[in-house]
Amino acid sequence: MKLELKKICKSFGPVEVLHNVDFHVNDNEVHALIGENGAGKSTLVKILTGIETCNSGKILIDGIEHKFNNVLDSEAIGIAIVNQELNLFTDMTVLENLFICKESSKLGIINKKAQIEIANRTLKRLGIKVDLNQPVSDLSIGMQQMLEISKSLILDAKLIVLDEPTSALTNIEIGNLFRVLNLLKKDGKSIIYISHRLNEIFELCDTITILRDGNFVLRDRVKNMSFDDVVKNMVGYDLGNLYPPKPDVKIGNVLLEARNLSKENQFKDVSFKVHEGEIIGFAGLMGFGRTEIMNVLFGVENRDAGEILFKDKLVKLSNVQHAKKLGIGYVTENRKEEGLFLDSNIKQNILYNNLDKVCKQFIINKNLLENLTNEFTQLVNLKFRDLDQLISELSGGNQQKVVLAKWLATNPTVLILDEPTRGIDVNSKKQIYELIFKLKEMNLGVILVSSELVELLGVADKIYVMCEGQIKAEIENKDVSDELIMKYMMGGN
Amino acid sequence: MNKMKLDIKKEDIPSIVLNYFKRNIPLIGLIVIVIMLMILSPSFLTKYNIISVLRQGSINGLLAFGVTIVIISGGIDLSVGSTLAFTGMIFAKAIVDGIPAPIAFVIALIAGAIIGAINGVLISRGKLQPFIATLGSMMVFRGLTLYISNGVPVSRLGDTGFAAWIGRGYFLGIPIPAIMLIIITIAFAFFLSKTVFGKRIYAIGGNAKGAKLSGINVKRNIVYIYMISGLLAAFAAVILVSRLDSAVPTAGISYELNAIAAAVIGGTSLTGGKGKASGTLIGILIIAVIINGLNLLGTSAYLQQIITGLIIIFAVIADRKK
Ligand SMILES: Nc1ncnc2c1ncn2[C@@H]1O[C@H](COP(=O)(O)OP(=O)(O)O)[C@@H](O)[C@H]1O
Ligand SMILES: [Mg+2]
Repeated sequence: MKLELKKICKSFGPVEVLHNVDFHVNDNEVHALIGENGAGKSTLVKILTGIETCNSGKILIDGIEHKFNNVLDSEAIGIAIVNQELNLFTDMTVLENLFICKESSKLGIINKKAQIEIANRTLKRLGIKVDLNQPVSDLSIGMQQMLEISKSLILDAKLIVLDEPTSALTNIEIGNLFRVLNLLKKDGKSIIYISHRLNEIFELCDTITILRDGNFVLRDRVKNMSFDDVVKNMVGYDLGNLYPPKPDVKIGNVLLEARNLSKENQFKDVSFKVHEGEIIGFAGLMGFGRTEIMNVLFGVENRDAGEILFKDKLVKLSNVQHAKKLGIGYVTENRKEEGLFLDSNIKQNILYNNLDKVCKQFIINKNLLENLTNEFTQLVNLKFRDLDQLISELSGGNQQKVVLAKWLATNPTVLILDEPTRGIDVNSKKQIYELIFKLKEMNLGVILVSSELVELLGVADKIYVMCEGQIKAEIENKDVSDELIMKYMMGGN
Repeated sequence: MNKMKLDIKKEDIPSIVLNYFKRNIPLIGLIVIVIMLMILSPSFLTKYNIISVLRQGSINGLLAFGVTIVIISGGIDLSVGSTLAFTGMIFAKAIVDGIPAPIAFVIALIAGAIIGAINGVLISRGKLQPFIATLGSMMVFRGLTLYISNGVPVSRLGDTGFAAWIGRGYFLGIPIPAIMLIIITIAFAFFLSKTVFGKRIYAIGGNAKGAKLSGINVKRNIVYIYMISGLLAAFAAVILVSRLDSAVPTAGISYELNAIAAAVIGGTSLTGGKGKASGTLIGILIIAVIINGLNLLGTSAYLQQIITGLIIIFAVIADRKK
């Protein structure tokens, strides 16, 4: 199947996220679509599969123009997509999930026998062993991801789109996936492959298209490109200066120490320390316990076992109020759901987190609030019209800065950052790194959870590598390779 | 990380039994209540009494199945009690006006489906929360019923055929309403587990965004779901009117809450995506048996509400624990 997207423009509200993007995929090729978080890759493939509609532009398939109003339209002509987010129905069984909207049915009655047969064939091909009658909530995240991929193979699609399919897979699962993708290619199918793991691109893909900030940057054969070429075109400048030079700060006393923290089904025997002026990083795959640990450190969730010490004193940390009082701040991984009140303005968002600071006898002191907001929006370098601007009107990067500001305004001594740069533009990213270093200079202890290895390597002093809820390695960030960390992340020793 | 849960085969028999108990708390609850009543009241286990339990359960049962699919889809339907009153009034007035009962029956069903469609459109197109939309229509149709009837019941329909049979008739010694309850239960069990539409209801309630991404026309399906609920309310209305030989404008007040109670006791989750026909049947029977049992024991009728309330709370806690 030959695909041409021409001059695609797409806006969400007032923000245009794709600007005249051209994207061509030839017959029988594995085509990599590359770009930083927020570059517009997912949006582009959603347009291609009818999940989103573009504001302008054309979709040509084998030379014929098509308009897709929903996924079923694109499936009907042989395009299947594995979305970046898992879209499973966790209360339903594996079989029900595989066939939702693709039911083999007669008069609306499901032919379960036929489904089981097709499911077994597809799963065998992918090398997956799973009980078809099990509810999906019982499966590991990796297995759920494999299930999403299997869904796309149930239909005999001619073009398969995979949006970051490997971010939660183990090495063995990735191996299986690549084997199947190579088989599919031999069968004459086209594949669009989105991934942040560049070595996968070089291993698997024939052609590469790079997007940056919603613009088409280049399209070339993979064999004409080097690793560095790809990175440079992705970020727009040499990676070297994305990470500012690390300040030379003397690491001080222990601020927060965790000893053998455990929680059933989530993590086990987790121990670590963060000192004054130290940035510790947590590497690992999504869904393998890192966020859960941070929730425990902040008193959001209870632990089953283990001790937490704050400045060498045992603390219970059984609720958020306690954690805040001690001086812990927590920038959660979902700024939109947990971090911000989107329909409130900047001032109010700062206020809700600092009521005790700006209230005198239960009444909010406007001047105090104004000063506090000014001070900390400046510290994080926020770009805004005025302090009454609604959060929903800010870009992702600036929203994240508001989250940072509202926590810094509480004067924390330890700041937990869970995926602080997810889905924000390169410039904001750089500013956040600069801010993290500023905090280091201010002698804060910073805990940085990130799924982007380069980020951890560029920022952290020490990296804890997690796999399946356990710390596999504790590495000083000096002359370590990303391959080594990746190996630990995947469960190697 | 989930490997710990998997190895079921190795489990010993006691824990399988325990697991079975945990999974079937509503059923076990029903059995316990039945055994207790058998001991306390000798007339409980008579054929006559069992039939009367089924008959009493049938009205709430029909409403509860409609409400169950609405709740599985992630919504709520507060309007079924008013729909019952309104469509019952239409049915009775039509017969009094000389329209043949079977045709009046069809008219009532259509009216029920239309009310459901209005709810569905308000929710899916008007983007109203289900609670708000059906709270509104609950009041509107209660008011309309009172308005068209002037607040006066329509009694003595004078029909000795269909309109007498459906609420008061018997087949092989079993009341027709009880037979309807059994048929509807089987139909819903089949519908929810074996049909494409049934699966989509679970998908919509379990993960609406995922359902949309899978290509399910969520908006249209929501309209259908509320239509089924309205249709069943109209069916229940016809049975009730036939049984009483009268349409009462205040009929069905707070029936929606009993229907929701039956669904919830049977394991339907208000967050959507979970629920079963067999569970709702058990919920219906638990409520019916309690009403019946307290009658037999001659206790105060007010006790019934207290007990049902406690059972709801207990059922949901037990459901979360498993
Ligand atoms: N539904 C949406 N509403 C508003 N903005 C969106 C939506 N989806 C994506 N965006 C924005 O569009 C931009 C591109 O996002 P995306 O396509 O997900 O990027 P990528 O997949 O390359 O990381 C981002 O700035 C993101 O915040
Ligand atoms: Mg994406």
